[in-house]
Amino acid sequence: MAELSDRKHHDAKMRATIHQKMVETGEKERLKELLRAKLIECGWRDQLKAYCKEVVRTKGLEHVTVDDLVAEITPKGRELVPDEVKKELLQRIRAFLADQATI
Amino acid sequence: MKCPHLSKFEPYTKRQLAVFANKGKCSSCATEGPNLWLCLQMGCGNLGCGEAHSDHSSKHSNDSNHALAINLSTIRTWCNSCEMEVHPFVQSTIKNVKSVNQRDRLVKQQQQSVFRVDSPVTQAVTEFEDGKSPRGLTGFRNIGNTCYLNAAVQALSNCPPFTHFFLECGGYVKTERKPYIAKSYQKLMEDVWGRRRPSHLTPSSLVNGIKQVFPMFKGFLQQDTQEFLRCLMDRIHEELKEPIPPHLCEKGDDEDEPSGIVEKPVTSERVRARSCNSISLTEEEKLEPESEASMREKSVGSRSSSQSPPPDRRKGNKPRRSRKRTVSRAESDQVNSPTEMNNGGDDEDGDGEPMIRKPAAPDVNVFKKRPVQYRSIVSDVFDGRVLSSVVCLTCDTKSKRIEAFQDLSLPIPVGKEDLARIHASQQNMTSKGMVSCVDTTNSQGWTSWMYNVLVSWFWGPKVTLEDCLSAFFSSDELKGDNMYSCDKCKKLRNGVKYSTLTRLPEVLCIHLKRFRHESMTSYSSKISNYVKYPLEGLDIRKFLDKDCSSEVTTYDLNAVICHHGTAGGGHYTAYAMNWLDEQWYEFDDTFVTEVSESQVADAEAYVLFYKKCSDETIKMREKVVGLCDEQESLLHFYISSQWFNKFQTFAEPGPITNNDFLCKHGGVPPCKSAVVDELVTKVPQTVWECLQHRYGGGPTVTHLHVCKTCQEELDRLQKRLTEEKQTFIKFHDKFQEEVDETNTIYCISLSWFRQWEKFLNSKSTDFPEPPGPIDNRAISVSKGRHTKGAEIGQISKETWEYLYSIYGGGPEVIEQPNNVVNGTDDEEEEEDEKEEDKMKDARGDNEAKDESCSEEEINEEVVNKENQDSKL
Repeated sequence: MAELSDRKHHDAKMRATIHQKMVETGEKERLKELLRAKLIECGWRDQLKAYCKEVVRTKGLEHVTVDDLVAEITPKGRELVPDEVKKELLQRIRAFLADQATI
Repeated sequence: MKCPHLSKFEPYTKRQLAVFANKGKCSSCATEGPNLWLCLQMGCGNLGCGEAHSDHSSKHSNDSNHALAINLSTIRTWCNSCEMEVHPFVQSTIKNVKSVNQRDRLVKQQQQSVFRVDSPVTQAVTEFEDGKSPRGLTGFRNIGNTCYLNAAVQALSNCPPFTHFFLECGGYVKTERKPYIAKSYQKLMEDVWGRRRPSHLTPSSLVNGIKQVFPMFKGFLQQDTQEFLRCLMDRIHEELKEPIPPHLCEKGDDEDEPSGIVEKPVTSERVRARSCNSISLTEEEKLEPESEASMREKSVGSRSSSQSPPPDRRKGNKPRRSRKRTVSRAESDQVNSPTEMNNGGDDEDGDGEPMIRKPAAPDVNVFKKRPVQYRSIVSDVFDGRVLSSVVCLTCDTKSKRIEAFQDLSLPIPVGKEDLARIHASQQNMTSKGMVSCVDTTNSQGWTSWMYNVLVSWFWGPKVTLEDCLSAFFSSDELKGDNMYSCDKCKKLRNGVKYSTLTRLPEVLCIHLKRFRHESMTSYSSKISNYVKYPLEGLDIRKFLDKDCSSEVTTYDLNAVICHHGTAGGGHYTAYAMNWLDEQWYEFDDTFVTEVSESQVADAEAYVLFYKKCSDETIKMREKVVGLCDEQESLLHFYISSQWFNKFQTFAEPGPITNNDFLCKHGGVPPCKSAVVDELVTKVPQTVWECLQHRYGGGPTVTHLHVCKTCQEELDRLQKRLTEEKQTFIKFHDKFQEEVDETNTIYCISLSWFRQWEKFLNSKSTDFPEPPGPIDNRAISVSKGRHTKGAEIGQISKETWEYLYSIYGGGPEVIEQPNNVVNGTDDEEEEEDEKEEDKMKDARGDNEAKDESCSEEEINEEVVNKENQDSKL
């Protein structure tokens, strides 16, 4: 049991450290930019935009709120992300971690 | 790389997931979360804690081999086997919300039923039958004294003959003219009668649209609901009107036209007789010596003279506005009263269509187009016809005139004598009682009116709606100031005028003239007397003409708009019966409350909506349903869904109108082919035969095909348009470049030219009318001096001959050849430039907005040229 809570703490601490490192080195920004570009390139943005319009059209402009819209399109957005993009980002993150480990 | 485990999973709803999230505990260790994982295996329902705790979720997954689990806090799904996120609940497009099975079911349902499965009307019925409360009980937000609009729209919304068209026949609602008021109304109705059942809505797009088309409603002042209704109805009619094929036109409308009348379309008639007698002639105008046309006016208008000049029924204390604006319409080749038409000739449409008024000269015939009548859902539901007859007491000749109306503005008789007279005349009604009844509220000064109010306060006999109707239809004496100018006697005579109904509308809209306006003192007042009206069984048989075409004469009350307050300010509410549960509800802006019949009967009514009722039609509908339920027939027939909708909601739907979706060749016109499924209803043979037998009409359609002939015509037309345009450009460019001044310059009337231009630029999906023969009369009348406002374009001889060869007409108008005189080179170049600019505009796809400015220039140009010539 003690082991488990230790692990919990340990995990949380790890997460925080990694995140901090990412921000400090500017990797987070770079990754964000990369992701943005990739999503536009593969058409994800346009697909989601079209979906967004459909939602507004179906519900009627007078009835839709931003929150509604976000709730509606978020799962769709997640689904639409192509696997390659996911893979590439993962790879980048792993590479980053590998680098960090050596430091 | 799709996860193969997605094929089967428990389809939890969002609500169920939320419940789990709130109350769930880990099945193994009872931890609460956040981040509990729900197993998605069919029938499992295991809850497991996540990695932050003991990760019993993964344990469960591994142990039981259930791959999918959803995180209840983030609503994201993980497949334990594939080790990736998956998306079981996301649909590929919104449209495919229903699964394949459901979709098939719907299609099958639709095949079995004649009624549109996805229409709000059918759904509303189903829901109600299932025990849910009725749809349609939605209030409207008041966005700045808009109760006049809210009350009116609620009354209309609960009028099935009108509203069900918008709910079921969406394919027939055109969106061609901004700001698409008909479409706004349709959307609003879909929201009110749709599945969501909001408690209230904000009708902003309708309000904004109305303010755009009718600037008098701009701002946030109080308005009169009946005026608003007229504006709204007129506009919707304008947007949705379709021409009636000639073989279906009513003959009555053509009676009594002076020669040279171009059109007497239903609309303009309807508009003119806005409230059947609010023809806006002031008393002074009427008494002037008449031309032929205004004499006719007199016979009709005398009624309005005996009533006040159109009273200001506005609630607010606004000065009386000229009603003439609404009387003169964009379509007004309405020549009956050129005197009154000339005022307020602004265009009413938001899109700036100029009005073309044709003079009633007898020699118009060559250039006249055949009169076209129009209909729309508005005219189908609300239009009636009144026959006004005037009898000259000297020579006994009768002069008749038919007017269309959309509502009847009834006077409210007050005071004992008038009521007694009316009651007496009611007994004589069948002989078209010659008892006159002058509307007391308007012909007397306000002191005697006050007296009458007191009198009726103390001895008030109850005024009934019938009394008001009698007052309206009873005869008027034309004498004294209001003498009638008899054709036969050719002088002013005493006469009697009376009216009868020749056609009854499906929904009779009655407007009680409660507001009175004194033109001299600008004093407004309201007659708040209670008028008793029946909730059911209003029979207007006694006001019918012997030639009336309607068979059903009984009406039931459908909706009532009430005004509370004074002429200075007040509030409108509406009572309406919901067609689903047949209960009465009060609609007071956002508040909708069920009320009793007695409450409705006691209300102070201002505008009443009575709907025709016919048991026979109800039986026919049941019969049709019965026939539909019988075995499937092999051969199916198509009926216009617009007519079928009428059959479902009107007491007298009239003959079947399959030409709604057919072209004159019997096929589907290309412009409608894409949406034809929305325009037709498929019925089995038995149903078709039954309906056609009872109502007549047609034509019979068992097979839908796109009309090839129309398509070919359209293609040919398109070719022609392109060819004409290009030829013109070619010739005209040549003309511009020519420096040779000895060539003759031809003139062409710019108004004809604009028509031709519009024709060239029209879309090829509808069949635009080519302009008639070239009409240069306006510019040929004077040589050198031009008819005031006549605009001229200058074209080369080639261009003229080309256009003339296609369109004919004339006459030829030739300018003197340009001659160069010393020192005028610059001037000439300038003129050429101006001309070129003008022609360039014409060539481009502008609607020649600049032409009116350059008109002055061109006039000057020509005058200059004239001067030059004379110099020589």
